[in-house]
Amino acid sequence: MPDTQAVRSRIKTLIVDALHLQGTSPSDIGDEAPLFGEGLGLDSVDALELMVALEKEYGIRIEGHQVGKETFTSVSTLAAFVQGRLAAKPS
Amino acid sequence: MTTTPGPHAPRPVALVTGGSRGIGRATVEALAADGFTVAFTWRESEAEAQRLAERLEGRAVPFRFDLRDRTRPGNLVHEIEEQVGPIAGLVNNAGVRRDGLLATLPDEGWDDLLDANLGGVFRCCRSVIPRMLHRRRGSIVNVSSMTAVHGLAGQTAYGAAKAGILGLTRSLAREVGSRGVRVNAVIPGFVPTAMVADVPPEKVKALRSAEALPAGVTVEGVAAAILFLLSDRSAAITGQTLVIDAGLLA
Repeated sequence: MPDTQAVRSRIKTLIVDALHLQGTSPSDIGDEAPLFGEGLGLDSVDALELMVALEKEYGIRIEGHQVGKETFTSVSTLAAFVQGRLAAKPS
Repeated sequence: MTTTPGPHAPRPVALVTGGSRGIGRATVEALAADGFTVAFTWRESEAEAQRLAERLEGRAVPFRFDLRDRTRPGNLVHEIEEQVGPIAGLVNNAGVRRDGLLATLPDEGWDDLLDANLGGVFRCCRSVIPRMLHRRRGSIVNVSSMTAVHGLAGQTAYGAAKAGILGLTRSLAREVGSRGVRVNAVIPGFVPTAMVADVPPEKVKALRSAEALPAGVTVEGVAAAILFLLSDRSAAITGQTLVIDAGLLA
């Protein structure tokens, strides 16, 4: 399983690529920076797009209605969620 | 996602619920003829579903599905995307009709009709939407009913569900339009299918006599409208309801 830093780094790249963020590079995104509203300015539709990108990247299944909004608070909360799913994934 | 693909272009994939009979089957046939590979669902009519799949020679793939199953849509979409390909279009056609006067309708009957006819559409949309958003491409067509806009005694629950579909369609169109995903609805008029075989002859006569076009509405006519809304031919249309009723409501 990839370590926390590797997952966070990959998620930042996915955010920029999957959401087509102009003028933002992965290194601009802090681990704890809010993704929504005042932070990176993402919206709930972005969260759904990002969810599918995470499914493809990590080979996990995520049902949108089973994931709380708090999961998408920041890169670090998202990384913790992904690592939890990877740990629960049958090998 | 519209016209017949070239010899090397991949065929876009559409999912049609309730695709083994009536309007659903005509829609599967129309989409397959237009260049789609169609995943379609059936609940009871397995033999008809198999026959349709065989006749369309690989352009249509049947899947079992019950609208009331709350966990199935997510798995169904996953299976289709694994086995057939990324879903570019969804036609929510499956429905359950059971008539009865409101005064005698038990809570269970109300709940069941609402859950199947409106909840089923909600769950199927919820399952395909994230993937469509991610691909920034997709079209959904929800099949409503005349009873959504024109009252029919005995169809309070069915009519409420079908009217709910129109509200869902408009709001969902607003939610996902920014990512290139479109959502529309159709209202078929009186179409002679097995689903309306129990409508009394005098009611049928009254409905048909109100149509402006003597030829009336066929399943192929409804399917053509669904194909139009699902395809890029209607690229500038979302949140709309298209009535195919031979002028009944005109």
